[in-house]
Amino acid sequence: MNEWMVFFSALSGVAGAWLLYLASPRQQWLAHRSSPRVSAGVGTALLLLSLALLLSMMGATEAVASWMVLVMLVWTLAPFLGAWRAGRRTLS
Amino acid sequence: MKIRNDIIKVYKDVHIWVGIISGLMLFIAFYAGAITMFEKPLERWATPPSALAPPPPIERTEALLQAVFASHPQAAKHYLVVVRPSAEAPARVIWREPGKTRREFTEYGASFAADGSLQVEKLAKAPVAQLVDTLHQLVGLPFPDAVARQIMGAVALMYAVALVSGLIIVLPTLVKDFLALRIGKNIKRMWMDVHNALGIVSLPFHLVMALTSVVFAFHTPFYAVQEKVVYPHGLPWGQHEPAPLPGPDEYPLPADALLRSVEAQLPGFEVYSFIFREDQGQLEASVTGLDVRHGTRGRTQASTHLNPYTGEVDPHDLPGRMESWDAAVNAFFMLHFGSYGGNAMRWLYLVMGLAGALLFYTGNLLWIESRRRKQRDGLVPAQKRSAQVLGCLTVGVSLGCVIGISATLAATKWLPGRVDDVALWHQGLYYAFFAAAVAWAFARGAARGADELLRLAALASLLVPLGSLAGVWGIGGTWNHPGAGFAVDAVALAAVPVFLMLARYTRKRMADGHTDSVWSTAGGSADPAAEGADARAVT
Repeated sequence: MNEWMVFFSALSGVAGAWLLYLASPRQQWLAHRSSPRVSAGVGTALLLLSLALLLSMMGATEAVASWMVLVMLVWTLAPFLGAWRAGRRTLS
Repeated sequence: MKIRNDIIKVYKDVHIWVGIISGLMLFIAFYAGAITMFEKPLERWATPPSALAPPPPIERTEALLQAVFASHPQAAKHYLVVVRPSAEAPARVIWREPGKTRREFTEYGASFAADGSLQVEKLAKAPVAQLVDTLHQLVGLPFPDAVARQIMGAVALMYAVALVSGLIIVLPTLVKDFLALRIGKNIKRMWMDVHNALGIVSLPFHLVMALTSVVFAFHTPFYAVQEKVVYPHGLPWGQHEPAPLPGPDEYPLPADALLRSVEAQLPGFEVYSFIFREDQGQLEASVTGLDVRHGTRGRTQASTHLNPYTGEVDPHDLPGRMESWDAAVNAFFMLHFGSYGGNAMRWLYLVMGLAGALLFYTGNLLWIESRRRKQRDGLVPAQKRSAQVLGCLTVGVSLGCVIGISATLAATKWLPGRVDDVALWHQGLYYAFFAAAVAWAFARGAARGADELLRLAALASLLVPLGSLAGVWGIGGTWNHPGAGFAVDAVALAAVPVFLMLARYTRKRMADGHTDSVWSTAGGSADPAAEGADARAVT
């Protein structure tokens, strides 16, 4: 597998999942949600790009599984990072 | 989505009880399983250096084989040619000699000394990585495999039930609370959100783990049923067309020619080794390796048949080239092992595994918090005995597993040469620390026990890289393989401040948190008399 392609697919997957988190009503990373529809649109496009890149490099099952694990991981960690940042905002 | 409250209550009860019964065993399975994602690097890090001379180039494999067969004719029955020798497989040629049972064997490796003479060494692959894997497979139970595996299967079934019932419980508020994590005065809601954050999004991952574990535990009865229902003439175990007998002038190709042939036929497939078996005068061969674009049903490698006389690969056993049914079975295994996507995927599985361990830990915290007797009229009530016991068990078992694994890893570089049975010592060390941690948690109470055991976990983790550092300086027979095990030491070192930080938070919780809690030394002591006392005045 081309390492740059792996890097870009991971990067677009993380960025896409993160933007979708920022678009969600329960996000805490930002004090105020800004243009959630744009975030959701760009996030979805990046996630699809990530999946397409993975499909071009790996078997179909492996690509979908890799993509899902990446998204699951970002969305598992995102609420914790958001809560941590909200806590710091409250302190400052 | 609306679900009747009485239905939710039934599923909540089911979720709570299967979670309480299986949660701590699942914590061990996930924590050990996360480490097992790097079983091979761990094995490499833990294996003592070989006394053999550096392996000869692959082009000289035939000469080495001839020398081995001349002095050890039994080696010709079953031997291995390693393409890229490493610390855990340090010889170009390795062979196995059978032991008392089918699964027992001794491995030998061979090389040429500087003067060209044959060197043979009994190989001593480190057993510690296998111990961690066994803890993972048998959910930490110290019972014989046949017993522990059945219990593991039951635990996996309860895990699946907990996942489904948990999903039903959160369905009514799923959309509203999705990705929520409310940290505030309501501790119960906070732990609920943490538990949901760890469990809801990763539900597909957990479903795969639960279902595959059930199959791993009960595969023998499943095969028996298949044999009765689907395959009346017996399961077709690894059947393949027998290779045509070699002609009188045909000889096995040398290893370097086989390697070139396989690389030409399987682009992207990294060859690890060739395995040869002599069967009724005919040589049979298989090739092992990995193509990270495709997952394998083996934990670390795939293998398939190879004609050693022509170099032709039979690819039907290789992921990406299987028929649809075999591909489906292969996918089932690979999703559990994370044997696709290379190290990047292994790191993701490691973090998902640790998050899974936290899911079970927070489930217990939530149970304890839900049963907290709250302070009224300035009086701190004694906490329920059940909450105290589960608090001590949760702290003792979880941190006992963490400390036990770190301690047995820390001993890795000091045991060889000092004890006869290294594997037994590793096992003994793990269970000794585990049992001591559980006893300590009960003796000191959940709060103090958590603080002290977390600090011990930090110390045990620090000892892991210190063992390698001792190896750099050659102290006490320790060793360090340059480069190979850096990640193991780095991860253990990174865990030290994490455990210390958690210990600091635990102390802060003890000092500043609710006094009416098992996590407070004021209200949560495991005092046997506490249950009888109605309340104590706040001092």
